[in-house]
Amino acid sequence: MKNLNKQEKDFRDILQQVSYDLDHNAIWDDINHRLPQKKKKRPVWLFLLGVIALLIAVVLSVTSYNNMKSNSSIAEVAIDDASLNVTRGLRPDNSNVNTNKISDSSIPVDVKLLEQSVSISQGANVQESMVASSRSRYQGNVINNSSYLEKTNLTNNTFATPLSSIVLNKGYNTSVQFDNASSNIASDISHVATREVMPSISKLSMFIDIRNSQAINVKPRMVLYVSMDVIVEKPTLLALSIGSGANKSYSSYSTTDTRNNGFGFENGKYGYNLELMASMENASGWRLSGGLSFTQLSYQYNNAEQNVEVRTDVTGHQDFVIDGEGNRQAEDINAELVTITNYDINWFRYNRDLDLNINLSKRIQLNEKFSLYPTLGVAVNLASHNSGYYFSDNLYDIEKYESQASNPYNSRSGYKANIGMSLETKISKNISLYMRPSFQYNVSNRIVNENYNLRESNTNFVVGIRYRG
Amino acid sequence: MSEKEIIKGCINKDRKAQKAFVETYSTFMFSICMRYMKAKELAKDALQEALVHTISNLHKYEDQGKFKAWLGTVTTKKCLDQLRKQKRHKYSDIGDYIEPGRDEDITVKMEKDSVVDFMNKLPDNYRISLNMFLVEGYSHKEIGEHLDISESSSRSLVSRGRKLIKDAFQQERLRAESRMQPRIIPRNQLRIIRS
Repeated sequence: MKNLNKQEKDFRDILQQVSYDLDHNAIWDDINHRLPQKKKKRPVWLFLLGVIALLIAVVLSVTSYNNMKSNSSIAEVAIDDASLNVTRGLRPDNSNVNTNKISDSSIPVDVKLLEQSVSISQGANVQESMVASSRSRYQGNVINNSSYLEKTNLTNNTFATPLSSIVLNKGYNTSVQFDNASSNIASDISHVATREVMPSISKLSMFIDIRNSQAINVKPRMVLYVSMDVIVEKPTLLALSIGSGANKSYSSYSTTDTRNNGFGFENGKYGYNLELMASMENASGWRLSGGLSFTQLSYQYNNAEQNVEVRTDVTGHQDFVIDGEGNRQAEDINAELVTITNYDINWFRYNRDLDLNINLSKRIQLNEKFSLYPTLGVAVNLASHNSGYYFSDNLYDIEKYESQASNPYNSRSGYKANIGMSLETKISKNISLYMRPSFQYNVSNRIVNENYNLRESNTNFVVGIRYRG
Repeated sequence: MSEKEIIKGCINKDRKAQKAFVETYSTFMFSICMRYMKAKELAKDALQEALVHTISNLHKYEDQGKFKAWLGTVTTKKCLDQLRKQKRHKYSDIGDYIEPGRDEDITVKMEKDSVVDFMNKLPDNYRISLNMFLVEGYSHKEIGEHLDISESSSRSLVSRGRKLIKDAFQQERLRAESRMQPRIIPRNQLRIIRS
């Protein structure tokens, strides 16, 4: 302190000595939540417990969904094809609801009216009556154990019922008019689907919005609850499939050479296929897939002749005889040439192709579990390995070869086209099995030859498993 | 807990140390807050802010001087922040600087309540600048920086404040002198009480 006189120093000392009574505990209570605290180290076992609980919850929810049974105590009701309203959000006051529209025709649906119950309440307490009627409904509903119903608001009568195991795909408007001697009530009930996030199956909740045309205090009131059970397939971003199967080969030849040829002695045999494909599918059911396939085509050349005797008259031969006088005399004779043929050829040839496939297919939903996929595709051969025999230039003889280099087969067999029909069935949420008969035609020539063109085709039957991520 | 233990514990975010800090230093800090804020509720708010700030930033105290001095500085700054937030003060440059008198030959001492009362009655700008200069020991330059006024304005405020203190002492002296002299009662006001 500089230049302070005595008074000021006294002044200062007094001010510094002034103290006040304080409630320290009250101050601590006011500020302790704002003070930095040590981070509590949560034990690892707690984290593991959380993971296990989450896994159990996921398994239970999947299991409960797979075990869902629809209760069709009411006869099926046809629903008009109207625009689908999909709403997100379960706020009673509709404050966080977004609305998207999905065209009905693009989504395969199976709609059944699950349950319909009507309750009539009489009395001033509308909220309690609505809650009571909904509870009685849900108690009877075996598939719904976790829904709740919020109380209604008298002014707009809006409430949300998120239904964990019921899916709703369609929305429609129902107008209910209840007229009795004491009142005229008109209620418009609109059902709007709320979509919850599920990996493969969309589960939609029902959002019921009831608006009354007039405020009612002590008058009868009708509440209509409707729920529906619909399965909706979501688009697939990526699915992997692996399959194997068998094929039967056919070969076709074209030649301008009119000589007899040995192609007729060749038969297609059975081979095998392997495939690894990735695919994506949109909501409309169009699937684009691509991947690798390995195919072995087999052929057999079978030609046998056993003790075939061919006698041919031959002329122009002379025989020599010696007369009594010792002179050699030539005589023209008739002779016969006998040829005996004996052979048995049973050879195989194999064409092993590694192809890149691109297929386009469209889903035809048969029912909840089965779907058909008619498929068109093209394949380009990446590598080809051939072994066995090949037809020689004279079109009749076949020649064996040991190494790739000494045969006229192309190192790549070119392009192929295929057409097929796949039948797919879901065995779980992400996994499905498929079987696919198909026909493949080799557009390109497999062999280089001036005298003939070799084109092959084969029918296939593949079974496989598909995993949808 | 000792001062070092409290500081170390608060740096380590130990709850016990933090509570000990509140119990040990809040009275001191509150007296500073009361000097600036005048009203008790405002002073409590300033105290809470100062406590939270100091406990959270104890790691910045580098043991360079007295801890209480550091604490006082931080508390003062928090009080000034609070006052600024309330926008109760608009400091402006004021008039001439008057040299205070020195070494007054008066032995009168003011009572504590009188001093507090005197300070509370001062206008805010005088009170704050006097507190900072007389009690906390800030220079005029520092006062100017904190209050966002010029150094000369700070000098003027302080000097006028000191004059007011001087006048207060003068009055106290006069009061003291009047207490020592007998009161002269006019004769016609005397009441004679006969037994």
